[in-house]
Amino acid sequence: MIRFEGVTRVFGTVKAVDGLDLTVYDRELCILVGPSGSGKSTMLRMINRLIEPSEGRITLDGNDVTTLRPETLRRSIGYVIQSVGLFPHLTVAANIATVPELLGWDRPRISSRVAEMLSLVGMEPSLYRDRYPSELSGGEAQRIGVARALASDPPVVLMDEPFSAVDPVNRLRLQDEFLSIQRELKKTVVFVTHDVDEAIRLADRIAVVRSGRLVQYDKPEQILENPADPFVAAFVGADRALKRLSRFLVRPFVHAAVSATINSDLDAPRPPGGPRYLWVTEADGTLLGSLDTSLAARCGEARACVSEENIREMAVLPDSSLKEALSRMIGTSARSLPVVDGQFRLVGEISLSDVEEASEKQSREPRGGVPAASEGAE
Amino acid sequence: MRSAGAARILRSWLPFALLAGLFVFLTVDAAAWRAGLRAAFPDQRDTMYPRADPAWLVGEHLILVGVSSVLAIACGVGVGVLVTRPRGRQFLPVAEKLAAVVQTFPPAAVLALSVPALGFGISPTIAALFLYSILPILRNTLAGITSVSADVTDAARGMGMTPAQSLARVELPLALPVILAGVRTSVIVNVGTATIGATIGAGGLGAPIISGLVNQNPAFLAEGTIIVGLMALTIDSLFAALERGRGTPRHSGGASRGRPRDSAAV
Repeated sequence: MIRFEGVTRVFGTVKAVDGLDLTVYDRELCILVGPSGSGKSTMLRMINRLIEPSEGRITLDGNDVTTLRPETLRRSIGYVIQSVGLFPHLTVAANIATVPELLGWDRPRISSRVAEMLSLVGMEPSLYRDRYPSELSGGEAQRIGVARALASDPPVVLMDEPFSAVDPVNRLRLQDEFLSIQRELKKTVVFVTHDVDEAIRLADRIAVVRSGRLVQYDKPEQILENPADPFVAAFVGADRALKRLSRFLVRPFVHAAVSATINSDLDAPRPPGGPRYLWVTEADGTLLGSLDTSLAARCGEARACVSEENIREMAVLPDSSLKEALSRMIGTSARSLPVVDGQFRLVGEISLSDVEEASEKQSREPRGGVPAASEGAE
Repeated sequence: MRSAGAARILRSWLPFALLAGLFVFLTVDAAAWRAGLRAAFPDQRDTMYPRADPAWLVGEHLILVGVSSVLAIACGVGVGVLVTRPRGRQFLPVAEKLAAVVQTFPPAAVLALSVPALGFGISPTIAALFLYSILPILRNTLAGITSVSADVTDAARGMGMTPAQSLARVELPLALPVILAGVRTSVIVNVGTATIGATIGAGGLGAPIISGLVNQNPAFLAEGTIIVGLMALTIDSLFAALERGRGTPRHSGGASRGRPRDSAAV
């Protein structure tokens, strides 16, 4: 547990952090979010004493951080920064080994730990250990940055805008990967970002910071639901109902789809009031397109009338967020979407009423779903 | 892989090996000199600087260059490191200016000025060479260390390196290529400049040159200039080989590396 008690930091005449009281709970991902210059980075850097408070104190599991030598303290806390800060003259392996080496681990232990860390961040050890940072892409370098921070298995990890220098597509992917690592390792993470969407996607708890002060500290759903003041409301944005949907996965709302295989005969009479559209698949279930049931009678075989238009834009994955589903419904003017698996096989459908139901339900029970894992996945 | 590595090593060290071989041969074999210079300058009575063998002159010259360069490296790198530490930062501009001012004096003037203080002979020459060669080393040390990206040093600190560890493991290794380039420049310049030490009795390869000028004896001149030139080339090729030997892919900047390839490789 990390606790700020009346912490103030003054730079010259500016109070970068002003009387901060904040408790970061064990094994939670706490995100400090606020506009640039709001003091969130200063808050983060005071935890590992890169910056010392002017007033107040910070405790880590009850111990004042100033009782430890700064170097000892920092070696027990993982640290990831925006620009990665990999050592350009050292190989990937040597970079990851930095803290274990400072802690005096023996060679075999360091070597196996490096391989373990590379695998953890999804990079093949034999392929990457001997590369230099200049031979990595931005996304790869950022993964190495995370691996380096986790190498000594610190209980606490500090991350200062770790994904903001990466392009949007890779940022989403890195966020997803980081979430799955965090679900597995359950570190106490303090994470700084100015990106509200990132905070909502990732955080267990969000601290909204403004001018060095803590404005609101709560779970993402609560921040979206009950912003403490107009500043928070404006900061999370007028689309906060939509943002809330990004916390929900499609998976729990999937229901059986009305579908027909490509060769099936459509002559059979349909009950009136049935769905207007049905999904057409290959014999093995691969989604091909949609079909207007009002035309079905005239088609004979499904093949004759199937429309493949927009089908790629319509399909969502079970791990897509409801926000993405809603956006695709609007984008394709469809009231329901096919849900497919990784091989593009139809597994069910989700309709607008499901999304509406979800947004009503979440008002009643906050944290109704796990954070959305994949947005922007194909 | 191994043969490629061996070929690379051979390629980097070959120029140095050839030049060093020639240099050692001309230093040691006085008889060859005598024959060669007599053939080149048949109408000179004395064709070789009579007061000392080439080997002796080379020895004196190496002492002048070696002592002054070692002092200049120790001092230049030392001061460069000190004024880039948090506590020494305030002296950084002063150090830069001072070194620049010293560099503007012509070496002959520094030599002349140091005679009253240190007398004639080796020590004023070493002092002049030392002062003269600090600047490139200091300037490159400063450039090398300050060009290490702040993110890299922040990461080093944030991961729990002590200031000394950060210096030894991160800052100096990253600054090394730039520092080495400064050392190279200053040592090469020193080899040439040390010849004027002969005017105040420091000996070295300047002795036959000065004597040749005074006595209008081109053979003496040739003896001194050829060996001095070869010495400079040999040392330069040594540095070139050292620099190439450390040819791992790296960027001392650190901050922006790899970004352009972002989408391609992820």
